[in-house]
Amino acid sequence: MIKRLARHYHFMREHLWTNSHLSPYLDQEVSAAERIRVEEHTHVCPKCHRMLETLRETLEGLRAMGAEGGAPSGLTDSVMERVRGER
Amino acid sequence: MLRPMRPVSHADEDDLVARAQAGDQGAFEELVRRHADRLYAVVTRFVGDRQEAEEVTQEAFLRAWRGIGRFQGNSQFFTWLYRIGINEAKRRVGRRASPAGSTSLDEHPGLEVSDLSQAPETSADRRELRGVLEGAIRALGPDYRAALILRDIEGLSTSEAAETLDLGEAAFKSRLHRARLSVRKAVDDYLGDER
Repeated sequence: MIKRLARHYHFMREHLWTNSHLSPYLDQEVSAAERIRVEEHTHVCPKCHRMLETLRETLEGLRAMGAEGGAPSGLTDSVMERVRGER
Repeated sequence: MLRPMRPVSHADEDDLVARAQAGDQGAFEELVRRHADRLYAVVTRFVGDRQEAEEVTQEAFLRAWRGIGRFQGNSQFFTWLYRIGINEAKRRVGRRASPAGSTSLDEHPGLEVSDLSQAPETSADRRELRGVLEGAIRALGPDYRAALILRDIEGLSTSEAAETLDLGEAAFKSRLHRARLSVRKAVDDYLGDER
């Protein structure tokens, strides 16, 4: 009974810790030890594993939104017209 | 095609800034040309309307011109410029009525997730996912939206994005994580509906 409780406590502690480190993990802003800790927990926890994968999918989608289009062609001229109008 | 976000040469950029600070409008014009595309992209994501984004971007550059004498070079020029742009965008957004459906991040998004076998694969699905992402970004509060746009869409580093928002890195990371979880929740709901 005590062993089961200890295992559950350990699991939940790792669960919460991992959940708060998924972003830095995906940004590769964790130490080697922290990376292993995230990977060990996501390997045994289906919720955190799926959380990690949907977060990864979300970030890929967000990053694909960058580098699109450009400023309207006359924007620089409009800015400089206003700059020249300044005293 | 977007111009590169960062200047080709820092020394070159420093020289342009110094000349602009001395009143050289030609140097300032070159700075505008270098940064217009990216600043406009950031602002467009933030305000969600191209016409308004153009006005905000123009206003931001004008404010930068007026204030360039106060730029001390302690940060990179583009982070200083982005800060002006985001503050101007926040002012615009703040003048509007509170957006319907704006998401509070006071409650931590839940851990429930969908079956990843339902992840979108076709181009139509991708377009739909993109619409979900855009809606989720618009629903974020301004501070969270700014963090997400700078780091995850515009690709600034954590330190650059934190500097732009005048935050310490730890505070920035916390804000970014909460913003990501909120957007992820929207993606998860979308994937769940697809089942």
